[in-house]
Amino acid sequence: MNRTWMVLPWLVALALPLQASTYVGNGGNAGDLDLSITLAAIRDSLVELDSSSPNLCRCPEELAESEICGVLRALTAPQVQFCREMILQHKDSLVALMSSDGDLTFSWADETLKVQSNHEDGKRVVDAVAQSSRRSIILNRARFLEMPKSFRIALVTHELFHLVPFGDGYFTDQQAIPPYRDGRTLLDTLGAAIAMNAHDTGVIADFRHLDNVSRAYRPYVFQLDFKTVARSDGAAQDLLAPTNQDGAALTFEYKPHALGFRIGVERTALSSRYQGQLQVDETHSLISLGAGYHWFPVTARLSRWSETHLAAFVDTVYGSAQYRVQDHAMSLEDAGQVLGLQVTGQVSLPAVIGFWGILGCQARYLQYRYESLNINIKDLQRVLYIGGAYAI
Amino acid sequence: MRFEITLLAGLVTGCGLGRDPALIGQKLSDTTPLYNGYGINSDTTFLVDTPSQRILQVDLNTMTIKNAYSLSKPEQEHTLASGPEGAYVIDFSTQHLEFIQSDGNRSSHPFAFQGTPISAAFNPTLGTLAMLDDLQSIGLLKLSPSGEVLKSWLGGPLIGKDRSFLSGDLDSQGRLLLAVSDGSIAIVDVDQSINEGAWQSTSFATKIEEIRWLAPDHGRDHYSLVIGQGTLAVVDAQSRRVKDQFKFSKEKHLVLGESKLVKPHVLTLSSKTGRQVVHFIGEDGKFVSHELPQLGLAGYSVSYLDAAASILTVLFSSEDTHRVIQLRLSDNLIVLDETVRSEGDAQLGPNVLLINKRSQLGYLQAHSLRDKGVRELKGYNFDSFRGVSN
Repeated sequence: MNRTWMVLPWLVALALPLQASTYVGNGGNAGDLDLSITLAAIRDSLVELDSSSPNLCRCPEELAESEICGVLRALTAPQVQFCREMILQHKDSLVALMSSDGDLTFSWADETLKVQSNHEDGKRVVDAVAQSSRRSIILNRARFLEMPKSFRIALVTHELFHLVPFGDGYFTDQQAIPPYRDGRTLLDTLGAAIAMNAHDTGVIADFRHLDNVSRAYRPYVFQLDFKTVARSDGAAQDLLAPTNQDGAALTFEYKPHALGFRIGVERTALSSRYQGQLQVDETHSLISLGAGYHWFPVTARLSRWSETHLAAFVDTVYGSAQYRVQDHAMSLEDAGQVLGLQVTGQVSLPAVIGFWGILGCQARYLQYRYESLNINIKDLQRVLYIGGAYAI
Repeated sequence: MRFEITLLAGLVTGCGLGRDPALIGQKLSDTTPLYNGYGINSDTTFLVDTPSQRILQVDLNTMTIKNAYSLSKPEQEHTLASGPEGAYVIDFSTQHLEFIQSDGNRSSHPFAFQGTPISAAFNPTLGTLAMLDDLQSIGLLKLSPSGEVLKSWLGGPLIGKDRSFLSGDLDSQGRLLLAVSDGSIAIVDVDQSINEGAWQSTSFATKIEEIRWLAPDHGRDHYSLVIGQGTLAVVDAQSRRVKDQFKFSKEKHLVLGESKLVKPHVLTLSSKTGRQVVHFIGEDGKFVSHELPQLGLAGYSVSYLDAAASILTVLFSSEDTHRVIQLRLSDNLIVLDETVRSEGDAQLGPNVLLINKRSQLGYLQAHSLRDKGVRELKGYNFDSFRGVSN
């Protein structure tokens, strides 16, 4: 059996997804905040435990309707006792394992995780895998993020126990551990017990302020920005216009991972009087297509700011420009096709329930011509914008 | 009611209310006339374009800008006169007189005058120019065909002891005829005056007081049409006497307007008949007073009587409406009755009504009186605003 579980990690390694990002406390991944909350809840729950904790491994009456609590309700007295002993015996090891001094690492898997089993194809789909030799735990990101908090606590506790020494080796799912049928059943119970204890003792509530923080892993982002555009002096002079104009842009981005793709529509307009005599109006209607990369500079784990991320985008820009200059007697008008390129840097600040605050800057080059007025515009613009986004 | 309105208009325009001060030649304008007193100009005109601070020469046939010259002292108001066929343009402003040739060469300050030019008599064929400023200085100049100043002199309003000028004009021989305060007409030799640096003239008495308007009849330039106090008269510089006279009060006429283009004439309103009458010098030097049909129009702007005295063209202008009526005098046939509704200042030419819409961006409309087509020159100042030379 020991050989079995020794082999398991290698077999699991074969099933590892090609894409896996590492959480090493530096941020940078969707789900990091939720994992941080889960680990903190487990830790705080363990620290408070002692032999006098009455509800440990039992289902409190007020949580009786919880699915996880049902696992505890089905335990026999010896199983309850064994559960309590295991937790109290190993709680210090678990806390040490999760400490910043420990060598435990977590990884996200965006593909399905499978382990060896007795199934027909010899594999079983799992939500997480522990690799004792590497001191690492791999979590299926999508599944983890879908789970309620108590399930996350139970899952991670289960995997943590795989890294705790037991007997000649470590806890495994297959080994028989009386009074439990096997290691898997025991570790599921231990996970449920910690999850219920976290609820019962109010640890879960301690992190409620982070529940509504907008999460960066949401892939569909709708963003509305209000822009101030500073134009090049040459373009402004050619158009008898001021160098500043205002606008708004609406963007949709799909970012399944750190890389995102986006499409946007933008309208900027200026209306001014030149030397108090001429009314000058220009409007740009633009469409942008581009891609960007997001990364997370903030390392504070249990903070909303860990969801803060920076992004850099490159977009091609296409659209139309309309121009009119007029006085009391006549007007001159023309329109032209706009082509351009823009690079953007922005910071996304998490608000709540999917909303974000956005600050950004752009440098872009637009080129167009008003044929009948014989005006060629080559405009290097600097843009500042502030906006908001909603991600789902 | 219609007659009364017309009469009131006549009173306003014809009885000295709001009339120009005494002039030599014609009042200067920021646009050169499409006619001058000596015939038809070429098909170009010069205009002062304040927004772009330029003098523009516009080809009226193609409605394009032939030349553009930067304006000296753009902060001042400028008026213009042009040489024959647009060979040069004369720029008048306060204490400043500049001659700009077609190749852009400029010369200025032939003499130092202190006022602002308000009128000028100009014979481009002879190159003789007499300029009057608002301080009543009279500048006399002789110009080459290309607009170079050959010689010049600045004189004051006193033609002789206690004799100051009231009005005047150049005749086709280049003599300056000046109506003088004592009721006489002074015939000034321009060349001699310039050479001597003093007024050199002979005079003859007319017994007509306060001659405020004098117009030589260029077809027969020893005749001049004059308007004095209560009277219209023909004076003969050759015989040095009044040839004919028409008393307004006696005949119960009110002056509606007077014009030196092309053949001098005066429009009056007869209070007896309620009809408008045009007066001009006939072949024999006597008045011809021709009654016009009932037009019932107000807002007289300018009129032209052709040299043969056969066609009278009158422009009636308001702020946004300009009406041109051409009348064949032989039988009062209305040859043309054209109304243009357009805001702007109108200038009447032989075959065109030019409207300057005073647009900052530049907007001229040329309405053809022959085919009623409209040609436009628009947006010609746009590049100037942008700092692009064109």
